[in-house]
Parts: sequence; C-alpha cells; structure tokens
Amino acid sequence: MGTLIKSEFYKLKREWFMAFLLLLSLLPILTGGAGAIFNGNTQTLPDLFFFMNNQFSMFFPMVIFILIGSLFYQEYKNKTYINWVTYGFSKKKLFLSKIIVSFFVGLYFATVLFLLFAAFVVGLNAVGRISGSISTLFDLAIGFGIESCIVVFVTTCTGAIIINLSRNIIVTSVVGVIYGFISCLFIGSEKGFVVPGGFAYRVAMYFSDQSTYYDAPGSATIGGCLSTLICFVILFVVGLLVFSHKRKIEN
Amino acid sequence: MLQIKNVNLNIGNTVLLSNINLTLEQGKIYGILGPNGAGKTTLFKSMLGLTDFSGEILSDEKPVSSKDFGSLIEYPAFYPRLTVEENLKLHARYLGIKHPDIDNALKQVNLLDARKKLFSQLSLGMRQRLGIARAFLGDVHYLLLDEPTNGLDPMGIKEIRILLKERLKSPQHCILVSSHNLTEIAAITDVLVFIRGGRIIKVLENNYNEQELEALYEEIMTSGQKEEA
Repeated sequence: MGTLIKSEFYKLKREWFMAFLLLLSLLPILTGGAGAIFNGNTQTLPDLFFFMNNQFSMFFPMVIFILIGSLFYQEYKNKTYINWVTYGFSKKKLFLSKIIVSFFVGLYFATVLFLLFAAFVVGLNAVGRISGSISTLFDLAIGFGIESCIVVFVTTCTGAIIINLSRNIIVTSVVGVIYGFISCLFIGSEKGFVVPGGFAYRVAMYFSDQSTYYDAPGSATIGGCLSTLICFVILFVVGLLVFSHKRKIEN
Repeated sequence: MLQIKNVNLNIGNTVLLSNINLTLEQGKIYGILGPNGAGKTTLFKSMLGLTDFSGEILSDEKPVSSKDFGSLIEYPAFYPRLTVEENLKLHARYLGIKHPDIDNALKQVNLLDARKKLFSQLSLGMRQRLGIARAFLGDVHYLLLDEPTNGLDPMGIKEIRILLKERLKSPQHCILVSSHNLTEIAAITDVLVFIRGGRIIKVLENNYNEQELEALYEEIMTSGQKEEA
C-alpha cells in the first residue's frame, strides 16, 4: 500500500492543478480578509471566523471534488489507466491509494488555510483591527479541524463516485459546485445535522459561538455523528464498487 | 511458453473473440495480422486480464499474471508532467524493481539524451520508443506491442524495426506485434498469425517477402469472407 500511496504523490509532481486548488481553497481567507479590512462590522475573532467559515463551507467541497476528480482523471486523460490496473495490485488497493492521497492533500489545504487565517488574525490584532485571544483561536482550530475532517472524508468519497461514473472532470466539477450549494442549504435547518456538510459547519461554529448550535444539542450531535458515519461508509462502499466493478473490456 | 486455450469473449450478441487457441514460444517474434476490428487489441487485452473472457491463458502451465507481460497497447500512455526518467522510475516502483537499469533501457531505444525531458515534450516516435523501453523493463517474459509504428514516418518505422529485431529479440522474450503494416510484419516477425472476426484463421512460419505476404494476406482474408458468406 505504501508503494501505491508514494506513487500517487509522485504523479502530482509539476501538476498545475495542485497550485490552482490550493489557491482556490485559500479564497475564503482572501475574501474574509478583505471583509475584515473594509467592513467595519468585523471587529472580533469570532466575527472573522464566521465570515471565513461561511465561504469555506461553500468552496471547500468544490475543491475536494476537483481534487479527487483530478486524481482519477489523470489516469483516464493520460490513458495510463490500463497500465495502472495491470501492475498486479487489486482494484481495491488502487482505489484506496487515491482516496488516501485525497484525504492527506485535502487536510493539508485546510491546515494551510487555517494557518493563514491565524497569521492574518495576529496581523490584524497587532494593528488593533480585531480583538481575540490565543485560547479562542485554539478553540476555533479544534472546531475547524473537525469540520475539515468531515468535509474531506465524506466529499472525497462522493467525488470518487462521480468521476468514476462520468470519467469527466467538467461533470465532476459542476456536481462539486452543486454539492457545495446543497450542503449550505441545510446549515440553518434544525434537522440539517443529517447532512454531513451542514452538521460540520454547525460543529465548527459551536467552538466560535455556542448559541449558534442546534436547539436540541444532544440529539443533534448524536444524529449528526451517526449520519456522518453512515454517509461516509455508504459513499465509500459505493465508490469502491463503482471503481472495481469488472467490465467486459477495460479501456 | 504462453498457451491460449479456448478463449471466447462476447458482448451481447457480438462475438469479439471466438475459440482462440495459440501456443507461443519464447525467442520468437509473432506478427498478429488482421483488419480493423478483427480482435487484435481485444486479444492483447485479454492476455493482460483486461477483459471478462472465458477460457484459459497459461504461462508455463500456470495461470498467467499481468506482471508477466510488458505491453504497449493502443498508445504510449505516460504522465505528461513527469520526465522520461521519472516515468520509468514510477513504472519500476509499481513493479517492485529495486534497482532498475533505466539508463540501459533508455540507451537501447536511443533516448538516453532525452531522459530529463518531460514526456509532453517528446515527439510521437520518441513516445513509441519510450513505450517499448517501458515494456522491456523488468523481468517480463512476454511483450505485447499493439501497432507500435502507428503514426510514425518511414524513418521512425525503420528505427522500431531495427530496435525489435536487432536489439530486443532474445531467447527470454516472446514478442507479439500487431499491425496493419505488411512491410513491417514481413521484415520483423518469425511467425504470422492471421485473425479476422475474432477468430484465428491461420498460423504460418514467416518465409515471405513483402509482395508475397501482401498476396497471401489478401487470399487468406478474402477466403475467410467467402467461407463466412
């Protein structure tokens, strides 16, 4: 498995789409930063996080869709798929190697985003534009970390299904945009915890402002965790079946 | 020795391979000849385990593994943002070759000077040669070269011919080359395998020059058509 994962990272060498996706995933901090500078209402650290996290919850699923889509699309576009599946490894392992690389890269993008956010906060704090403590920033990091994990794990599996069904990166990207918007629709709903993206957003916001969490926090947390786990398992299994389905002729 | 026994492949009512039986020996170059859609690529894909065929394909009496083959199927497919050398290193890593002799492989196909070039910067002829170098890398017994001269100019075709016949043919390798190009097949192969409509029509030792082969090809293919009619 180590060989497969290393090889997947090796294939990303000099790929422009990685730089593009990193920039795309940093968009929330750029727009959030501009908001903080030009908008007088952004005066506290939770305000800035709220602004950034709203953008993140919409943009990041799209980034993950394009990421996992591009990882598989590399093989289809370059016609290396036939070589790749005849090296003697099972299709399960090949699928898993792409998924694991997507998890790592997705979490790396989210980490870079939060570190940039932290640096931005320190800068704004130094010039007296916003107020906030290190402990608040630490709390936000925990919430943001949980949100990122949920979004990366569930969205990667969903994207893998779409790219392997369509073998088309445009279709995958468009579905990614739609997926991001649909997830956002459930953010405000009290029953929205059944949608992992909506639940992840509310969990992250809980660490910023507890009053933004669900009215029935116990059942929403249990329901959200169960729903996320079930969605992840189902989407992963469906993705695996779609990819490893034996075709009459591979091409 | 590679044995193909009673291999059949159908998709719906379409017969892609019908009762294929072949025995292929190491040290020889086999030319697979047939028109478009005859089943040449499908046969190669079946050997690699890429089709859902029925029947048996054995290597020295054991079920064959895709790792026994080096192949260049349809198109020399590589990662365009990796260099020539990096692409071969990646291939060697997948095959578990600890110390691949990449320089020697590239020297064999006259690509040593281009080893730092990105794959996307190579000409079609260079890509085909790189595809052949990759097919030969490692401990493979059988080489499947599907239309290796496709799209090449006469000089490129000559280079591939010299490469196969004078440098890469060896007692350890069994080489299968599919082509439409009768000149190329007449010049490099030891055995001719004629295929049409997914069936092997005839297997002959290659004792023919280009003109004789052209006449023989026409005769075999048209007699096949008459029998079917």
